[in-house]
Amino acid sequence: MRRPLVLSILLHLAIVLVALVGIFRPRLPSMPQEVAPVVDVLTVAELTRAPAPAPAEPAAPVAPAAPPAAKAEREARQDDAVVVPKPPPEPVKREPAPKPPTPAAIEPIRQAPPPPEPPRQAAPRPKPEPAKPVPPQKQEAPAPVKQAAAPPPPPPTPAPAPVKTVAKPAPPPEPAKVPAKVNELPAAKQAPVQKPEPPQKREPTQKAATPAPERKAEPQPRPPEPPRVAEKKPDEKKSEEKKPDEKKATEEKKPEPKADFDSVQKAIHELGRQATAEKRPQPQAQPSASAQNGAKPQARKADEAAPASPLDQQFARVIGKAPAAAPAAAAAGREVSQAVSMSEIDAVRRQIERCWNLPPGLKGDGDLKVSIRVEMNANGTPRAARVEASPQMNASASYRATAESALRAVLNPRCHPFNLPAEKFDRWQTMTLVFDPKEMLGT
Amino acid sequence: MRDAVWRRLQAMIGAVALALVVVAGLPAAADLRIDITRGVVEPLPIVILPFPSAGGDQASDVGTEITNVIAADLERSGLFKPLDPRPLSVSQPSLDTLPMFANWRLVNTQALVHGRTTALPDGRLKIEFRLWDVFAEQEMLGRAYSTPAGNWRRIAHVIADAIYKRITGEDGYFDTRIAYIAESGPRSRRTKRLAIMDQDGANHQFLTEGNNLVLTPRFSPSSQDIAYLRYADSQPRVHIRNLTTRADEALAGIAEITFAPRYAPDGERLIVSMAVDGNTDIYTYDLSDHTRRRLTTTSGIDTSASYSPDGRQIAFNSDRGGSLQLYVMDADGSSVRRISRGDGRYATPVWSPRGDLIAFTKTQGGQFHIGVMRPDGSGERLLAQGFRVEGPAWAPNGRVILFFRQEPALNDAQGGRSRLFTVDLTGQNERELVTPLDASDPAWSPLRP
Repeated sequence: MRRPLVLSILLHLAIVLVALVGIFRPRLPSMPQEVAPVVDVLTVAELTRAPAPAPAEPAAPVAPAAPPAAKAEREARQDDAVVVPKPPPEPVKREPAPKPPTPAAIEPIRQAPPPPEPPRQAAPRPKPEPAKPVPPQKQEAPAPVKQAAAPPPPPPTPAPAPVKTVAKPAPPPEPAKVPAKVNELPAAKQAPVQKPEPPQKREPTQKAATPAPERKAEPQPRPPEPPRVAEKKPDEKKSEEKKPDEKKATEEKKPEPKADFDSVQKAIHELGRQATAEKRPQPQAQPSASAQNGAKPQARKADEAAPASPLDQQFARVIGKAPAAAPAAAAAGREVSQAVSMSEIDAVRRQIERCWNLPPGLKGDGDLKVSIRVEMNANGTPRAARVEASPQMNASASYRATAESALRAVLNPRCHPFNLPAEKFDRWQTMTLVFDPKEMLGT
Repeated sequence: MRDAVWRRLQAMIGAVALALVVVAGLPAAADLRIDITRGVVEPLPIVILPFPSAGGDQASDVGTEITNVIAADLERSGLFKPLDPRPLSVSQPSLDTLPMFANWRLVNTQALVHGRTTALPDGRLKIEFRLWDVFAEQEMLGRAYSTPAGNWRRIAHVIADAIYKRITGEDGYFDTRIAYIAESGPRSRRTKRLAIMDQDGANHQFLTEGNNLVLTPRFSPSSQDIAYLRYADSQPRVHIRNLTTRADEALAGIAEITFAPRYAPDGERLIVSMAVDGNTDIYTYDLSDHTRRRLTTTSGIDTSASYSPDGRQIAFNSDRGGSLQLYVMDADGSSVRRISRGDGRYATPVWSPRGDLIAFTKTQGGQFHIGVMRPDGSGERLLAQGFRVEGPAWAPNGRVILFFRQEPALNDAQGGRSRLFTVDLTGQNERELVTPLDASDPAWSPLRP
């Protein structure tokens, strides 16, 4: 009687365990591959307030007697406004094997038929009427502003003016309807260079498997092809990576300001490296913080390296049958189960507030509250962040500006790493940051 | 025996239930939420790389000039901090490839603009640019313009407007013009001319010769007409000058003194102050049929009327209550209510293009102030002050106010300089708008068509 009962209980307990571990185990919601800010496609009319295509005048050069401004505007009137229908904006494409850039990468501007010309607003032509001088019979009160009272009497002028004067010293500016043809550019291609990783985000084990490019191996400006900053070509970049000596020689030829700035950069690198080493004695794999999609598999290593899951430890403690090999893990799990304290949350809040540069002057007439979902690395830097979907994102320019400023605050490396306890990583490995500018806007 | 088993069973069931409670609480606890309600207001660091030429030296020079104009526009707004790209040892990306975002992040660049100019075979100029969000590694904007080569400056303003709008969410105001009164000569024989220029002071031109005193220019919504006050035959009359045809005519059908003109939002009417039988009231003037309609009927002086953007309300100043104060009425003249409640005298209300604020001039304690308040009179804020600051005019996006500031005059020939200034709604970003001569009574055009 007693034995079957115990077996039955154990069997039921096992079923409950399986159900708990298999069904109710907390899972983090996967981060959709969403790009938060989308490209705004504006029409030419919206951009230039262009009422109509210009009159079909020959594109002949303007008479040399015309002043530069009038000439420019007259020329502008000869242009047609062309709106190239564009597909919805796409996020930046990153091709694994990018093609070297070619001038033909930009699609030729397709000229769409000009939009119909809206009726031009007729300029008022009030006809002059013989002026009947009616002297003001009322003494108007003095006012601090010219318009506040009747206009002051005319001061003596050098020469008496005719009643109606059209002559003027300089020809007036002519209306320029459309400044130019406007086209949306095609999406840029992945640069044919490997994206460098921040120096403080390297992991020795990962380095052995897939060596990350050293900072010295990063592409450097080539001898000035453009006047100020050199442009890099893909093949040259590869050769530079293989030949660091050549790169050093190139660096020696840099002008003095660049050398100064390099020293600043190096100092920043060193500071960041030291800070990281002090705060995170055992850094995890860190891909670059990006709003797009971080390397999730790498981040999951943190979970694998961590002790047994909190659920398992909790259950083991509850039933008092923790495995003998896991006392340390159970102790660690007891710490992990602690919630992030309010002081720790406040510390992170203060960090982010320092980097949230809200565009001033936003209209506060709507709900501008923005939620950003952040996946964190174990070292306190964001691995991926995205604006949670909102219908206002594409409907309100103010909302989108707010959302993008919030995203920049989250991704700003100057505010990383967040001051959160490493032992509570499971509590903040995914967080939701809610940005509400209502208080700042005073609405 | 049975009781012992039952007690054990109860203990185990209790343990399982407790485990369930603990497990059920875990998922909620894992989702940390932090509310951020404060931030900073600082200029956004942005790098605008020189637009290299893809078709000749001339285009290269123009490309540098274009970037200079864009950077100056954005910097003057106070919302951007253009970084000089020359000391940055970061390679300039090609327009067709992604920039090296990590490098730009190291120098705290949050936005990056790069572009290209190409001299086309037909003599025109092709200008392309892209705007990048460096932290999000996203392209925010990418456009190409084909324009006559002499039009590059305006294209630079158009690009600056596009960048401004994309990042701030507000319309820009760089492709606009400013009309004002240019003053010269001693104070006893001041010559005043109507002048016009781009919002950055470029392309300056005089529209009148200075034979007549002119005051208070106001742009039409189409920005092709200017209504202004002009003394002709010693009588102040409102004139309208067309910038296209150069026609300059007084309002037809009105023989009385008219002044303080301003266009209705639809551009089909003017609202003016008119002195009839010694009483100054506010009238509307239909530009098509030349009819007028009286809106105020009190014995006080009602002037400086300004329409709300939707055309349904009118702000004006009046001394009907004993001192100069601001009032708002419906467009038909009904429902007049006073909105200024502070000490001092209020004048020249100008309704913001956004509709959310009214700018005004205030005198108190011997000082002049430029301020703003909500249409109901609440939220009064003073943005600028001085010996004499007057004539507020809104930028078309309602974020910046243009006004003039006059210094005290030492004598007839010395001192008393009058200059134009802009100030944003924070009151922190005040900039002088340099003009060739003394300047007063500014007016800001809408965005150019």
